[in-house]
Amino acid sequence: MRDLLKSPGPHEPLSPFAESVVDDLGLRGALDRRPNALSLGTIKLAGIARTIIANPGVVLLDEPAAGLDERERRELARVIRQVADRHGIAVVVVEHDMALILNTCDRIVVLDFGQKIADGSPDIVQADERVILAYLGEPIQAEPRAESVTRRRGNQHDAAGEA
Amino acid sequence: MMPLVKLDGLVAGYGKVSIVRDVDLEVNKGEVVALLGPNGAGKTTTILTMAGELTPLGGVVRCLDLEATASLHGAHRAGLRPR
Repeated sequence: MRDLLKSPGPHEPLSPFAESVVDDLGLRGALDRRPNALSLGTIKLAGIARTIIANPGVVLLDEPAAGLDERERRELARVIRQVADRHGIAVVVVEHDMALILNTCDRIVVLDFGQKIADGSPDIVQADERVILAYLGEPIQAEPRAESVTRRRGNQHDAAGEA
Repeated sequence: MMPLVKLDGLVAGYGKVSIVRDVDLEVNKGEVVALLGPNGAGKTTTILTMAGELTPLGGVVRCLDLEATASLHGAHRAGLRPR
């Protein structure tokens, strides 16, 4: 995997920034493994690592949790929150995993038939009658706080400590 | 603070068929925003248009300091163009 994170080429060492991203995302142990030996969750985290190393201002994620198991989803949630908090990146995520959304996102924008029907904090959107009617059905609770990432901005110690 | 992503009256879709209609959205630095909705609601169409993969049919898509409009896309076949 190490070669996938190098820029400009595979014969160059990882940049100090790339090294820090590898550590932030908990990928140090996977660096010298072949991609086909990695779990789907680790491959997805490696993709996010490559994105961050490119130093973007915005990251767009379309159903990043698809195919991941519960542990990998929790790790993905932690990483998404960390991408925003530690690197100041704006993240837009399309996702059906409500636990991941509720524990990770500052805001939820709900679309129905191509139009925005709600835009607000997770608590507000969860209670919105139009959202419940269009999508949620019954209210879905977030995971217990101890198992989730923090939504508080700028509290990097909490996010990092839950790796 | 200027938002890093700004959709203003976005109309997006495929060919002449609009899937997303008149959507406004702002995403600020360090903010995580989820797009939620049932299948076919327009979530992926919206995010693909933000990425420049789809040409907006109307409205304005602004990402970082770049802006894409329907006319610019039509003229240049580019995802994003400077203001």
